[in-house]
Amino acid sequence: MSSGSTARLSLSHDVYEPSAVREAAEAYSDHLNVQILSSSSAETEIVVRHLGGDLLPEQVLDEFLNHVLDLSVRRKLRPG
Amino acid sequence: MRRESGDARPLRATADEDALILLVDESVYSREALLRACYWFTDRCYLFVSRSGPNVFSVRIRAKAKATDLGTISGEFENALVDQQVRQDIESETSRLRELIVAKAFAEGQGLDDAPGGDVRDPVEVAKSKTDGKP
Repeated sequence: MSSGSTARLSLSHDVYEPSAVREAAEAYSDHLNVQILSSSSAETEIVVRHLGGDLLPEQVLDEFLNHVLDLSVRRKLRPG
Repeated sequence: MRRESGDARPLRATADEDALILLVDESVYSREALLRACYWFTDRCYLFVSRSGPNVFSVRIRAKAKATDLGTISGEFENALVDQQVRQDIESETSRLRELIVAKAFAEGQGLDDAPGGDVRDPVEVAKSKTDGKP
């Protein structure tokens, strides 16, 4: 992923919570534009575009995905 | 560098220059164990988990620090998976016993709700000893 370019990803709901995707997209809105293309019962498909800045596009995307994973795991494994 | 192991194994690893891809068989390692293992690695690695087939998760792992050896990360991640799976197995095997212990502890604790014997205004029973004729 280079500056200004886009990455298209399918996030399985077995791992990633749709609400976590939305929350992380909001948190990274200064660096990334995250567009949710579709969301089925099984997965959410997104397109991520780097908006520029000091951080490398690849690194921002990886940080974003880690954040989605963190939020998702916390929600999925929350007791009760 | 590229490394692959046999297809029949529950865990298969492929590595290239900066990323490691692990294929995890869900019939051996539960999704919960995988998620917990991933969670422990997000502080030092970038992870992306996807489905690569029925009952198979693909985990792409990239180290945050460039100097980190992917082989070491692979080994540690595999150990973390085993660790989490064993914890989960033990938890499910002992959950009934744990519930019984907690239930028994709470049942015994019910006695604390009863009023303690004696008079709270005279905890050392001075008044009582006077009426009993004791010093």
